[in-house]
Amino acid sequence: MKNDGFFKLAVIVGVISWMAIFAFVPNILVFLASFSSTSTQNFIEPGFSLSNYARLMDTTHLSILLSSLRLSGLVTVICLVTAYPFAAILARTRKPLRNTLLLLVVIPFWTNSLVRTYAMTAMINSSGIVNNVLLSLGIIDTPLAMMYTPGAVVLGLVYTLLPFMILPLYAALERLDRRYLEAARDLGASPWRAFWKVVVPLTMPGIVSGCMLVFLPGIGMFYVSDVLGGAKAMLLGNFIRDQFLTTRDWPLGAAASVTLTVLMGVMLLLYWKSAARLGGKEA
Amino acid sequence: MTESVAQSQALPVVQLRNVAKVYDGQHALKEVSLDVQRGEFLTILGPSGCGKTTILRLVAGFEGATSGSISIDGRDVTDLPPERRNVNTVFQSYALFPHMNVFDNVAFGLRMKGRPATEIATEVRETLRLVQLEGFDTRAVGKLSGGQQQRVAIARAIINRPLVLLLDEPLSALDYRLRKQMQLDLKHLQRKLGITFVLVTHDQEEAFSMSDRVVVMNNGHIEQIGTPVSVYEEPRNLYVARFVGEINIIDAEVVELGENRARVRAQGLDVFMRTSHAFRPKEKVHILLRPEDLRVETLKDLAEDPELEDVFARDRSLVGTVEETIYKGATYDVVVRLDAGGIVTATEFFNEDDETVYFKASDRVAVSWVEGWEVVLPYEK
Amino acid sequence: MRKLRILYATLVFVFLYLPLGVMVVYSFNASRFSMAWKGFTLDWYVKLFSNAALMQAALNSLLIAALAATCSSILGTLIAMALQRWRFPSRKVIHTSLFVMMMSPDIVIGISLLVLFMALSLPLGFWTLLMAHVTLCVPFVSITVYGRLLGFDPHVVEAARDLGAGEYEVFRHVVLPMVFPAVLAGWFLSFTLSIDDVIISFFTTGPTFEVLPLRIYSMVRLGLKPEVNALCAIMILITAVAVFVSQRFLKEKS
Repeated sequence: MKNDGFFKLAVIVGVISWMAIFAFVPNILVFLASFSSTSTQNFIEPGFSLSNYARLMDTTHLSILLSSLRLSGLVTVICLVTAYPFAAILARTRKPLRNTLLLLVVIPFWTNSLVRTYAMTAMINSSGIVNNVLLSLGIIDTPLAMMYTPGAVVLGLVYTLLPFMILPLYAALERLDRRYLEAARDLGASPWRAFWKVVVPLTMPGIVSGCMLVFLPGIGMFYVSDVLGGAKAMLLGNFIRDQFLTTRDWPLGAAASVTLTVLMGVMLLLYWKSAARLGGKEA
Repeated sequence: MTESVAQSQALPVVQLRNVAKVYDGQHALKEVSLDVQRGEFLTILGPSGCGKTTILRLVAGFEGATSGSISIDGRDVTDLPPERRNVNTVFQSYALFPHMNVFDNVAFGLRMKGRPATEIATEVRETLRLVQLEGFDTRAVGKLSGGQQQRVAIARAIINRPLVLLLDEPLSALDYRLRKQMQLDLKHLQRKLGITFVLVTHDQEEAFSMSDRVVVMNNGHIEQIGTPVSVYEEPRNLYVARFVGEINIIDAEVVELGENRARVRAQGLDVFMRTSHAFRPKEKVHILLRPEDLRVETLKDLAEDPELEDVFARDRSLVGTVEETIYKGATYDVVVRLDAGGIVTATEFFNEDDETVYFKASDRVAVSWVEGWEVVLPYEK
Repeated sequence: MRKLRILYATLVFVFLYLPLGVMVVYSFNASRFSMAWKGFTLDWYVKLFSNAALMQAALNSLLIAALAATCSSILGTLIAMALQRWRFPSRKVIHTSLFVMMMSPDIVIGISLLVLFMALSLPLGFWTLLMAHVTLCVPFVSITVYGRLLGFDPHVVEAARDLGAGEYEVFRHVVLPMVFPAVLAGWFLSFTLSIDDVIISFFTTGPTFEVLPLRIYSMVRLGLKPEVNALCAIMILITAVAVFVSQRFLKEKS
């Protein structure tokens, strides 16, 4: 009882300083670095210029950025379209079976994503299962070159990230009160209209958080591109990594990272908006 | 009993002096002063949001007062945290520790004081016996019924022998029958322990049946403090009159003033009424009448039976037509539309040998009351 | 319609499990270079366990995961309690930041910590990796525990104060026992996050301290290898068992 105030003060001071050192300072450093320039002695020469962002916008860099966004967007759309009906089926399945199916989704969710990326190579490389099956069925004569293509990267990302789309969608759909749907039908909505006007808006926070959990890693997971896409950097993640570890152009890498952070901020705002509209709590 | 009467002459056990509480710019309490006497059962009565729970939380120490001071047993506790105040609380939700059994819940306070284990065991047994929960020691609190949880919450608080026990709507989660029983049990427990109880409720029946004094609150301030009888019979204003029980309000105008009386004109009547207020002639007033104080007779009976004259004051009767009757079980209400405008409700008892409702809609009736049973209040808004 | 639903669900599950299954099967294939089945063998597993560097990396991973999970469970629980119990400056900012950190792409966390460690001129290795993994895990623990705290009757804490408990006693005897299942869940979550992480480890550890995912990464980049198949099969098995056990455990709890 005597050290009452001390415990409270110690915890609060500890929490604030930990957050400051490991959450705020690193991001501020990256932010500052994105405005500085490189030098031969140091990775970073303090200063203020927008040149890194300008360099990011030049043709070669911009094409990497845009193609990475396009790739990740495509992955997100494929995951969403695949996962939504699947999550809906899961949410409608009866109890004991549903728990088993859910378990089957959770296992790949928790399996190391590098392991899963690697597993995909055994499927699609020239001597892989897909080519073997197609060859033996006589559909093709020579093995298809699927590895080291943008398609392989998309497939790998979809494969590793699909559970991250399924689970939030499932959570949203499972929570959805079926009476809303019944009310909509009762008021004369067709099943299709009831879906678009009732189910989709009510599961919007799940949709947005699922998209966020797929889209953002889809930009950053450089090892998927390394393993399935070969030497060509296809993701912004590869680009950032190379700036930091190979080219040693930290300010340019920092500018790319800040861009990614801003993107995340925009998506988070979208999420909070969609959650707030349902009068829900955050998170 | 005599001891507690003697003590009550002494210092109040809790004193609030001009206590105000502001939440987000909203006044939850506006400059409230209140003395709680030693050993009394005090109830704070009011609708939700009137500030009654805020008073309790300020006394317990869960909230700090924005201004003013609070003292317990003569010591200023305004800035003391809850664990250093000699008061304990029974929460509306009971707030039992879900991860502990009955014994550990009740023992918590003594353990915090560092009392020896053997002593704690004896005291817990003793207290559980007091709340009729002997042998429940090892039960998980989540498995108990609402009434049992309530008893654990009370035991957990009283085992610490607080100077004051604060009870925040403790019975609101119980069903009607159990609530009635617990009202009695609480009252008996308070007598037995001699601890001061401060209870918060929105239920006037609960307030009246248990308390020595009632504090009626509205909108962050105290409207009236008094015994249940005085609050019911002599409400200080329309708000209190309306909040505690049913009431008929008739607008009137003062004609002349006498000593503790005033001649008042209402509904074409011109009669003397008892009042302690100093009115001026021509001043508008309200006449308040409880439904059970009103007497109704049909004009036909009055004409046929001159004997009724004695008990039915014809000179202070209001004439009207019965609109409807409402059956209440032991009583029934007669709703009368007065000829001079307005509606009054009178509560009638059934005759011993006649269990039928005597009045019918559209009966012509006169309504009257015994002089002195009315309350005359200044006109409001 | 019902048949269509079953078919669709089955297809998705086949998509999720076929590559994993194939890899497990091929970890027993005697052929080194070809995907064609050349007979059953345990050679790759034997080879795996005799690879000292790999075993060291695995041990390192377990060590880091256990330490990071424990540290972040303690820290995350304290943060959650502070956020829920006390009003202090920057409370809102911290709450929002935790959520943002949870959503942050690993690469952003990785390079920002790399920049921090460089700025402090800390040599990359065990300590920097541990700090990085704690940073990764703390938001997950905090949010889990915070959610659990919100589910409790806030009067329970007031009741404890009322009965004479100070801030520390409230934490020790009331808050901690009540949220313990959530803390435990947070610990397992952190352990898994740490074991699985590739990207953050990639930036925040040095050659002195190698962890399993990075070891796998360097092996995998060079193409298919049967012993990697074996290693992956073991990791899949461990994950499946862990998920199964934790699900059972959670079911019994509720």
